[in-house]
This record gives sequence, C-alpha cells and structure tokens, in this order.
Amino acid sequence: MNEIKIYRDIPVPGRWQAFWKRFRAHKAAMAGLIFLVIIVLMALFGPLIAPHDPTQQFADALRIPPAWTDSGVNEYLLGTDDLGRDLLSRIIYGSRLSLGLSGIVVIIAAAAGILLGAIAGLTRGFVEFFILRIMDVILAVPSLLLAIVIVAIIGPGLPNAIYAVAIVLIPHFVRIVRAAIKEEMAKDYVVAARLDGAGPVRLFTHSIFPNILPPLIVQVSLAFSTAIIDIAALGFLGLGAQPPNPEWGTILSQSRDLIQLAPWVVTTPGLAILITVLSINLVGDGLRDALDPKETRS
Amino acid sequence: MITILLRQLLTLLLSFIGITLIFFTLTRLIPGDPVIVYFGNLSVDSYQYQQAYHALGLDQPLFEQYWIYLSNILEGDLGHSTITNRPVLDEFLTFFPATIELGLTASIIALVIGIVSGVMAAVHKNSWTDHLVMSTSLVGYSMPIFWWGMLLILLFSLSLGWTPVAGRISYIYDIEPVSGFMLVDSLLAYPKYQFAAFFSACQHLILPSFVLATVPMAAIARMTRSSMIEVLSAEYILTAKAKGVSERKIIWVHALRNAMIPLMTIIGLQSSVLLTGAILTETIFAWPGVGKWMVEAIFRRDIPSIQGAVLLVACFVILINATIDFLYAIINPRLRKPK
Repeated sequence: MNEIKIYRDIPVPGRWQAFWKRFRAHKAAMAGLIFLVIIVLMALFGPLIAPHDPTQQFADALRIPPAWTDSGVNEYLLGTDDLGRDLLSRIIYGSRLSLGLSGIVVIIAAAAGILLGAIAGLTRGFVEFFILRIMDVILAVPSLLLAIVIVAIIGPGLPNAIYAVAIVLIPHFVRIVRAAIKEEMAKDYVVAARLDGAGPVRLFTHSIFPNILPPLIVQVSLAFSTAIIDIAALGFLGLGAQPPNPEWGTILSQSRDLIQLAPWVVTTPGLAILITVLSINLVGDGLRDALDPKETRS
Repeated sequence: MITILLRQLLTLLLSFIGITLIFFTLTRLIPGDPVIVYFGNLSVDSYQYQQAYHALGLDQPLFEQYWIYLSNILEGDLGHSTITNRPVLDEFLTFFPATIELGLTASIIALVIGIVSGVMAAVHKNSWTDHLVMSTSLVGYSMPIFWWGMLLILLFSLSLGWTPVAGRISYIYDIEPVSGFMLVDSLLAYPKYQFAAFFSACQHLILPSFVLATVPMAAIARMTRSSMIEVLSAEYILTAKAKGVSERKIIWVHALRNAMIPLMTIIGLQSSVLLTGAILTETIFAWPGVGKWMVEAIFRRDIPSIQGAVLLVACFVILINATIDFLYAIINPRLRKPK
C-alpha cells in the first residue's frame, strides 16, 4: 500500500515577522502606535492640514473659546489665543518642531552614544575608564540642570537647547552598548568570528551590533520621549524655542498669564505633549516585550 | 564595611574631580574673555579687570588655573553674584532649604503612594486594581509636570479655591527664617500665630509637592510591582506560606523587604529626577528655591551664580547617590562579600 503522507506546511515566521506578531498582541502598544502614526502624519502634512498660518493674527478673533463651547466659532476649532492666533494650527505646526527636533536629538545622542559605547566596550584600561567616568558625571547632573548650564553658557535658543538635551541623553546609550558588548564578547559566535580573523571594528559592525539592536531600540524610544519632554520644558522656561515659534512648551509658557482668562490655551498644548509622550512610552513598552520574548513568558 | 566605605569615598572623590574638571572646561569654553563673562553685563574698569584677571589665575598655565579654581571651591569661595554682589554660597544657602523642603515632602509622597500602589498591583496581578495602577502610572510617567502643575492650579486654586496659587506662606504671617524650613519656622512662631501659620505653610506646600512627586511616584509604583512579582514567586515565600504566616505579614514584611533591594537604586536615580522637576515646579508655583533662583540668574546673565548653583546641586546629587549605593551595599548581603 502506498500511503500518502500529507504534511501541513508550517510557516516559520522570520525574525521581524515574529516580532511583529508579538507586538500586535500587545493591545496598549498598538493603540500607542496608531496614535503615534497619526501624530507623525500630522507633523508631515502639517501645512496641508492646518487651517491657518500659525503666526497669523486675527484681530477680530481674540481669545475665542473652542468650537464646542457656546461662544466658539467653527473656523477656529480649538479656539484662539490672546493675539488671535488659531490654536489648532499652532499645535499642528508645533508637532513638526517637537517631533522633528526630538528626532534630531535622538539621532545625535544615539550616534555619539553608540560610538563611545563601542569604544568603551572594545577597549580596556584608561580609555574605557575615562569614558565611563565622564558619563557618570553627566548622569550625576540632573538632565534639565545640565541643559540649563549649557544654555546659560552659550545663550538661550533652539539649537543650543538641542545640543544640551542630546548631551544629556548620551550616557544611557553608552552604558547599554558597553554592557551589551561585554556580554556578547564572551559568546561563541563572537569567538568564531574572531578566529576567522575579524578585527574589532568588523567584529562590532558585523557580529555584535545586530545582536544588541533590541535593547538599543528600546533605549531609542525612551530617549525620544525624554527628548520631547525636555525640549518642551526648556521652551517652557524660556530657554529653548523663542516666541512666536509654535513649539508646544513655548506656547504653554506664553499662556501662563491666560490661565484664568482663556484656560483652553493652557490645556490643549499640554494635552498634545502628554498624548505624544504617552503613545511613545506605550510603543516603547510594547517594543520591550516584543523584542525580549523572555519577558513575555514570565 | 570599611572597604565599602573607602571604595565609595574614592568614587565620590573621582566624581567630584570629574565634575569640577568639566565645569572648569565649560567656563573656559565660553566664547569671549573669561573676565568679561565673569562680570556678566556689568561694565568693568581696568583696575577691576586686572584684579579679576589675576584672581582667576588667567596669567598662569592651564593646570595652575584649574588648581586655583579647585582650591577656591574647597574654601567655599564660589565667586560673587554679579547682581546682588553677595557670595554665591550664601545666596545658595538661603534658597536651598526651600528646595529641600519641597523635595523631601515630594519624596515622602512618592515613596508612600508609589510603594503601596505597586504592592497592591503586584499582589492582585492582572486584576482591576493592577490595570488601574499600571495605566495611571504610565500616564503619570509621561506627564509634562509644568503642564500638570498649571492644570492643578486651574482646578484646585482657581476653580475650587482650596489651595493658594503661589509662594510658601501667606503674606499676613511674618515668619522669622531660623532654619529656612517653613514648616519648622512657622511652628517656631507658635506663640505669635498658634497653628494658623503652620496650616498656611502646609496648604502652600501640598500642591507643589504633589506635582513634583508625580513622575517619581509612577516610576516607583512600576518598579515596586515588577520587583514584588518576582519576589512573590520565590520559594521562600512558599515556605513562609507553608509555615502558616499570615498573608499580610508575607506581603508587607517578607516580600517587600526583599523587593526593596533593587528598588533602592531606582530611588537613588529619582533624586536627580526630583531636582530637575524642582526647577519646573518652583517656576510654576513661584516657590523661592534654588531652581527658580537659577532660572532667574540665567535671564540676568548672572554667570557666577549659575555655575556655583549647578556645581553645588551636582555635588549634592552625587553625594545622595553615593550614600544610597553605600546603604545598598550594607543592606544587600550579596554585595557585602568581596569578590
């Protein structure tokens, strides 16, 4: 008898497929991702969506409350501020600043941090000690305080605020990369690569780096939310973006005097910051669980 | 024990040297003449200029300059404020107690609420309580506190009128600054105002300290939860249960004590978060502390004050962290044994 054997083809999910499957199971993270995508789209297509110019002042429409209140006007959905500027347009343009600047900050910090971390992880002795000491010192100074010193020395303004926040974020990257390298170096596949004659640079870029990506990605999401809050905080203190720039923190600092007259000018920009940071943190949580299967199982 | 202490002191010393080195480099990096920068926007005559030039050691090699800088700090001479002309250290010490008072109250709030809610969430894992604690803490963790402070002012101060908007105490009370801590000083004024001044001080303190506590509270709650879940699945907990120890005692004595060990490091890191938050909270609530003073100093271009203040705060943070590391080593028997 010729028996027919049927094997069901079980697709083995690839690395990224498996990751996406785990991530999708995380409901909160998916919600965060959807919000984040909306915010990013809002930032990308800001000029097309925004009903008005963010700095245009409508002299006949000062301090108009949001459209859903009795005295609101549909033309200004979220109301206007004391100079008659449309709040919705300002917040949309502000998202370009907040997301864009934090993106730049994270890229600078990650690049510098990975480089320094790789140097510290692959060397021993004085260089490693020196880098780690400096990073410890930066970690010891509270982040906003360090930003304040830097801004105080080179003067308030957006570019200076960016350097300040980036420097503050570097040590975390250095620590993670260095710790991960130390851990991976002892593993067999690295030894095999080394026996093949790979030098330290090739060892890092080809063998170690792809394997330390998971903790790095999680750190990037953490750094991103910290960067948004810190840039907004500097703007709020008047040390970052300067008015009439529609940066969220700067809008908030200008609206402080209006808290009684026009509370909506205070609530909406802050809500924008909260929602953005919250969705990044949700995505970050989901990433951590999805990238590190050990965590999910427990 | 002594080895741990010595090692801690050595790290402390290295961090101190590192911080002063970085600050020294930063002061020399300022574009322009250090003397002019030192005086801010004040006009300087040539005699003053010469004096400052010599005092800063600018006519000496760089190493010598650092040495002068370092010995000045160790003697407590951080320069004079260019605005009030008082020594920076004196200025700092008049503002520091207010920040400490705010920070301490905030840490107590954060620790108590954070640990209790974290333990509750861990014990009733995946329950309604757990989800509530976890989602609230996630929102708290993402909160821009400068906005949170304004919202609470809007609600509790302006709409409900329960708490005052700003300051440390109502202006009708004339409190003699003895310790610098308003809670203590207002009690010392007992013969004059009975408890009224103390209540006023408490009322002023509650909202800012709650705002400041928000982010650390959320972080502590999340850490407590994950740490407790790990500990609760350990075998000695099962042993304790088998011995018939009550549930409450297992949770609050056996488990929490062990869960606290990894928490210590997080609490140490939160001290730096607290000081960062203090700058924002003090600005919103017009709290006359170090943070508000520093922000004002920036706008006045009072460079000596900023440098002095940040240096002192940084030293304060590394001191706290070193103390916590030391306590950690003492509490955790696994670290006590030398490798």
